[in-house]
Amino acid sequence: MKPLAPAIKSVWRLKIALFWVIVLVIAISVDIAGIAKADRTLPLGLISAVVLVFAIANVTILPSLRYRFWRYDLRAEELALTRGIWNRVHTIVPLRRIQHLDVSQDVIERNFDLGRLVVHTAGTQSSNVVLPGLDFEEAERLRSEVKHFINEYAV
Amino acid sequence: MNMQSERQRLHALTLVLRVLRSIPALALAIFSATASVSDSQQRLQLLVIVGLWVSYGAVALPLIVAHYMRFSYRITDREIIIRSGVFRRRKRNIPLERVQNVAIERRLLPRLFGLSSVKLMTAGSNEAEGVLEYTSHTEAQNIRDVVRRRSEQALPAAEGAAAEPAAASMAPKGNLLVAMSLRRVFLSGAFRFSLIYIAIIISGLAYVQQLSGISEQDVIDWIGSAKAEELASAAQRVGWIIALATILATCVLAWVTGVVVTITRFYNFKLHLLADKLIRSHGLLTLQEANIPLKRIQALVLRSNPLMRAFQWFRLELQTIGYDVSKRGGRMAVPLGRLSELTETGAHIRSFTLPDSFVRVSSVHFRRTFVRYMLALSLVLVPVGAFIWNWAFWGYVVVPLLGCLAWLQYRNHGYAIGEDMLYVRRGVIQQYLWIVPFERFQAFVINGTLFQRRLGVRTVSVDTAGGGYLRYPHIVDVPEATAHELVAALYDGLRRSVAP
Repeated sequence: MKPLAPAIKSVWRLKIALFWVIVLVIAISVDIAGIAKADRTLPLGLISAVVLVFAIANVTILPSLRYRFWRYDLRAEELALTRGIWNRVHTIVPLRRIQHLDVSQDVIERNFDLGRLVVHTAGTQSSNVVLPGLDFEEAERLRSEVKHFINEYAV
Repeated sequence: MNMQSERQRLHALTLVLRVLRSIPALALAIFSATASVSDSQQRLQLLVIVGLWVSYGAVALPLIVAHYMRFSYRITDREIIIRSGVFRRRKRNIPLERVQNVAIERRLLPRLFGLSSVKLMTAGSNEAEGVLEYTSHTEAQNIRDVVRRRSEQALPAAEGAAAEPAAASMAPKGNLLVAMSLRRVFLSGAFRFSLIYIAIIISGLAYVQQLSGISEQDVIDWIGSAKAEELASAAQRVGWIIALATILATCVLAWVTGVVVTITRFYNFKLHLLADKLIRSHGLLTLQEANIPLKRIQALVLRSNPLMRAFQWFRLELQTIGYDVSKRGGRMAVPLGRLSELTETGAHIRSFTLPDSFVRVSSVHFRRTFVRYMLALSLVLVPVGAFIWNWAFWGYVVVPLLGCLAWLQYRNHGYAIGEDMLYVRRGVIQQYLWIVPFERFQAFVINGTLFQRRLGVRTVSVDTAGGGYLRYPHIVDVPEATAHELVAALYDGLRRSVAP
């Protein structure tokens, strides 16, 4: 099984940081709103400090942990994925069950030249299986490989 | 046979029905308008009522007529064309070959007028793509037959159905698989005790009280205050009896409601097999008829509860795609039947033989289930006990009961791999037995939570299309090695079943 492109760690880090910046802004504004109040129950700046600690922990640890447990493999007849820090999920999608597939990238991913492969099946819970963190060329290569299989199979 | 090619209007009585249907809304508007105005402002009240009537006559009625005049449909030999819309005109073409399901619904009022509504469902969506409300019942059956014939042109069997004029009954032709007697329908309602009805009844009572404006004081006035006080003190003395009686009465009421609802819905339940479609018809006040193409059926589900099992009753449901899933009872195949009957019926849908024995999951499942129950219980008891009411800790006397329940969960959970199907059994209060043909598998997932991984077990699930309404056929807590073997075996089954 192959690991993802290492650059995905930076993408995740950026996205997690963005999320926590928003939370931090909210926390700081709550703290600022508390300055004027006389009867404070919590010491000033505590909420912001706690959020900051969480933010730093998440930004530093989460991306590399996530990366460590992500594996994928495109085999002859199926796509296999393994992921998850707490919940280890191992998914096998038979290629013949794929209805259609996309390669996509968002703004952040584009800056790192990464793409994601999204595979759609008729299933309920795994109706779209996402494989992120691929070099864009690799994503396109996987897509054409899967497409080739589907076309062969349909004939 | 001659295809209709000219444009058709809906039945003229539709106008009458729509006007009739709009009256409750008007009445409600008038009622709420008068209720909100105090009695002293009688002139204002009069003005509001007159205003409502005028706007009803000037806007609502013309709209109903305009809607009727603008709505037309045409059936060619390839498609159904529906034109509609007053302000925004719309023309919808539905190719006949894409129509998966023609449902005929007859609510009580339209039925009295001899009318039906026809709903056309296609593969692409879960809702009706075309709705004809209302046509005469003969016309509804014609439409159904035309569409049905389209999709079965290769099969000569449909000839007979076309020649015979539509009778008054809804019963379509075909091979009758299931016909339920009134007694059976009653039984299926009696066994289906649902807590939902209790909630509905309680909230319904509260609503009635609010709407009618009757307060406790009114009741006291009505009985007489001396008597009421006497009653109240008596009630306090035997408070627990009253509480018990209330619970009992609510339960009985809920049970009766369940029976009545079931009888109204499933009265005269019939399941036919016509070519490659199941045709299901039922209903007391609202007659319903639906087609379920066999090829859209993804899995069969045998369901039961402890009471049903004690009397050896089961019910059969179908997991389908491209079908109206939101509708209650939409997946019902047989509301109540003996196992042998259901197996026989199921054989027409997808032949299966129930396995003699199920492979049990790891006994870790018992432990994990029990721990989960304990956590859920503590989540309620600890905060309540610590902060509100100390006696709540006595709630822990139910622990042995939870132990039994967890043990039953473990004993009832199992799976079996048949020749061309996977069987998964799960649940105690609501017991499910999924029967999933290999060729319906879409993906395989092995999941291990942190705790599962430490205990060396995994959850195996196969994904199928059209699930989600029922629970999922997960196989929870199988040993890790077995989980991988299981997926390999199931995948192999899929490969074999779809091999050319």
